[in-house]
Amino acid sequence: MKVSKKYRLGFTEKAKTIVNKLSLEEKVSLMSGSISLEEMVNSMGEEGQHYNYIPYSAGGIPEKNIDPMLFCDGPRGVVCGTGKSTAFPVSMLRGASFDTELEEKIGRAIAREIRAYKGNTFAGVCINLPYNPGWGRSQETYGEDSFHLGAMGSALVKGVQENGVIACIKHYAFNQMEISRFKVSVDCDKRTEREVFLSHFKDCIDTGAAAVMSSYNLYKGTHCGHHDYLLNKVLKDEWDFDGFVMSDFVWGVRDTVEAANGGQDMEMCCTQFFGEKLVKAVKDGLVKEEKINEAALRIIRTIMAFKETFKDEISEDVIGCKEHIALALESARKGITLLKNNETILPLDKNKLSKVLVLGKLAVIENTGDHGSSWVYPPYVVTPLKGLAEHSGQCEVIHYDGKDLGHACKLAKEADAVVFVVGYDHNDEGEFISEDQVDSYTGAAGGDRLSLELHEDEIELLNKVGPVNRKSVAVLIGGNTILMEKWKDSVSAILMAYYPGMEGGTALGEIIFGEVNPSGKLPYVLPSNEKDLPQVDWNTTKQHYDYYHGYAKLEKEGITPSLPYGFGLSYTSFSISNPEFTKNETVISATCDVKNTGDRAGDEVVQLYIGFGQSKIDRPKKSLKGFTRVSLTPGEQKRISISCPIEKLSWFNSETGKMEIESIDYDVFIGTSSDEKDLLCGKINL
Amino acid sequence: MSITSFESVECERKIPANIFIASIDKSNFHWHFEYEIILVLKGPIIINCPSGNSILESGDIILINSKDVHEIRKKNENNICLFIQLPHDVFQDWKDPHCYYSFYLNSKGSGVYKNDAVNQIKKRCANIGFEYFNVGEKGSPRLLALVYSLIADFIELVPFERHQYSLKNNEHYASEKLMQIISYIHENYMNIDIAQNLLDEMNMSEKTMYRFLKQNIGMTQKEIINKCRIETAKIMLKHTDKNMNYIADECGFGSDITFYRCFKKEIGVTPNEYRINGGKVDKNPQIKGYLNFNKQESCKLLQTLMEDKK
Repeated sequence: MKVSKKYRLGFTEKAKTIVNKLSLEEKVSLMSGSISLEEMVNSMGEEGQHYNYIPYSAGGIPEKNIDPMLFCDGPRGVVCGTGKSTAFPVSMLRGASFDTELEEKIGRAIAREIRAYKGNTFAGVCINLPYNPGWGRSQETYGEDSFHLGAMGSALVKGVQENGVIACIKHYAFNQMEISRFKVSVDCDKRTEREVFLSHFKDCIDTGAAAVMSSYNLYKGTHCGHHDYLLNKVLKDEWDFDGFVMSDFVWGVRDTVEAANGGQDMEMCCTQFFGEKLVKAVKDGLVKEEKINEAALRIIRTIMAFKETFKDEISEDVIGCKEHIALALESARKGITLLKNNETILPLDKNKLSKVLVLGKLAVIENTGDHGSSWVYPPYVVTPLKGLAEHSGQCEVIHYDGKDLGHACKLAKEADAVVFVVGYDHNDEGEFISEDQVDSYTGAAGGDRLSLELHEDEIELLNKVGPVNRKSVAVLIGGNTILMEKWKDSVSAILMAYYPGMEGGTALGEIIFGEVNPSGKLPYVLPSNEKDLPQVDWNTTKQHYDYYHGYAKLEKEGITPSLPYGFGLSYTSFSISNPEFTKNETVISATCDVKNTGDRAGDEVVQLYIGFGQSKIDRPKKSLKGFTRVSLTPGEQKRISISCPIEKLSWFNSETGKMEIESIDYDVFIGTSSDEKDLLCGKINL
Repeated sequence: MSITSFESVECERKIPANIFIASIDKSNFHWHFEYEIILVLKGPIIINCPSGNSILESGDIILINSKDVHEIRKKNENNICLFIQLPHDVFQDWKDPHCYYSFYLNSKGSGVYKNDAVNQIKKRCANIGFEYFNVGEKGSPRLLALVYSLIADFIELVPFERHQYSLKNNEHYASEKLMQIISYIHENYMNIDIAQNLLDEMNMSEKTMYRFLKQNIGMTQKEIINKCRIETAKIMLKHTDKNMNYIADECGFGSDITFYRCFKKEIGVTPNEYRINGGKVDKNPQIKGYLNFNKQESCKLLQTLMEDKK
């Protein structure tokens, strides 16, 4: 990545020279968005327009040759334009691919499209950790594990910045409840803060992310957009972040003085508390001018470093171009996760079937995710039904919504196979603004999921119709955990499709009819019971986060999940053998042979976990500390190695206030899911 | 059901539907691209279609899906039925020409057929029939509105299946090709060289075309062209005073003799006789299977169904 932190710091003197020539008013003008809320809301009423239709600008003084920050939202592509941008699968699906190289390529594609839209900032690196998977916007993030979030987020940061766009990571921090996002104050202990909720943000900063968006919620009673501890002490001092902080939109800053002193560099996307009020606060001595100078320096330096390095114009032709759409398809192929395949009924053999019945209203909906700020408007969307029809050969594909169960059963009996498409859409989960929030800027419904089950009518459909046809497949659509206990025995196969993007239907058709071998892995644990997960009150002003969540919690409490973290089936089979565990000064490594023991080519995601069974303090049984994807032809064997930096094994010692490494025996696991029966184990002493 | 034949149905230009009231004697097994709604004003009639045999009585309604082979017969007494034929593409998703819908509407059916939609659709159809025969011009805005409301009723209220096709799918490809052939004929029937031009246009050999048409609609290219020419000739005979030479030429028959021969064979009377009778021969029971019926009675029956409180 050319525009690294070190490289950007090389522009400090040049930026300082500019800052020194600016008046207070000019410097403050760089620190907030340039459009009014009214303008934004009005433009959304225009035919074919919507939130972030064009990049939103902040600052910029043309006569002084200072460029504005030009904001484009994400993460499932670039939100700008209508019928143009590439709609990638949601981040949760991309997380399930465990493919950092692919994520970097997606980042590069997104950056190209942003530059074609004349933007310079991508605010779509969402790395919040869903403490409870009911979080309505968890589709925007990669999964439940901090290491994995750090790795995937870093890959997107790299890709985006490699092609000349500022990557903004968000929402810093503790933002994993949607309905209460404007009012909830999150609390947790220091270890939880550092080891669970901030570690992946630090990973992305270490990778070189050049901007950070603060969150709406409060942490320990203070708005994160004003948070001296989070913004000044942790982010800018401890982590030595060189870029700028921007607030979340409209309600991210609530107080001029507290925000400016708290380390907020840029109020987005309208000027409400900064602007004249901030100038006055400086003149009244409530905010020191050095604070303003520092913010201006960070903003100017960052934008300048990117601008001066990437001068070439990018044509609008790249927006939604063939290569980018192919990438969206590749991502869907690699992320869709096969959870069950009894009697290997999948893939369906199109040459032996004459009629496939598709049930469920979601099969015919262009369902790319929620309708909030991450809504991307692509030129087309392949629905599951169209994708299936396109890959069924001579086999007829019929769809019925499934309202009349008797009729659905009759059709299922007559068909050779049945595909249920069930789950959620933007009405069930996603970015949320309550009705009394009249200033609603995206007009979204959604919110958090109060239950992790499918809808009652879908459960009934699966249970009544599934058993009628042995070749029954459930395709799940949704942004995070969907419980399966109530119906999983009624169908022979289950595929988790997340929100698979504009080419999602194509990937589903290819996978169901066997042109593509599924290779996604669950980026979260799938419990049997909702109660196995940490509980939150979705509509509250106070929420405590415990140290344990997800697979770490289930493992610690000895609860067997329905399916473990990192689980996913393939149409072929793999074996792992001959493990070797080594260490040197900086890393722990695990090596093993992976062999394709089945009869078709496929990808396996090999995972490295470190176990803390010998720890003298309270630690998880094991944590993900590395992963890699390997492609193997039938019979092929490769020796693969995964390394983990030793510093990744640290814990936060509240007494010393530092991350420390324990001198103990660590269990090291390498294998194909987080379940110990899928793992080979060794020990390393540090 | 080997004796099935394809029927080409012409719609009135202004409304996307062909509406008529008829008394049925017997229509042999046939199919068409149009969806056909039959509202029985006076029964009973027997309908035989893929979903089974039904005896429909006064007040019953049924939908025959596009391309479904069906047969309608009179039972013992006289009957009167309202027919509404909708072109198959009115339900086609405008974004996606590669799918078609099959609906479940039969007031005598059970299971998925039993639904609240029946009464609303029935009233709507009766209203369309009444409007068509009593009020204003045949292309009146009200009638248009009613027909489009009927289309909306179907999509919103009636259970349906969506058949999705791939571009690569041969079956769908066949029906698309068939539509192309038929519309080419409709646009070029007046051209005497149409047969060869069509082969060139479709890039098919004579043999391939013959096999394709026989397999898909049970007719030859010549038969379709003739049918189309005769339909046009009928309109000209009925509504103009152009001479036979002119009509034969205009319709692409090439010569008077061919025109006479084809017309007599298909319609049962000569073009002259047809003109003298004012086109009434069309309703001859021996030829079309339609019987005479009382118009006034039909209107009263329609009105009763429209006001049905059920």
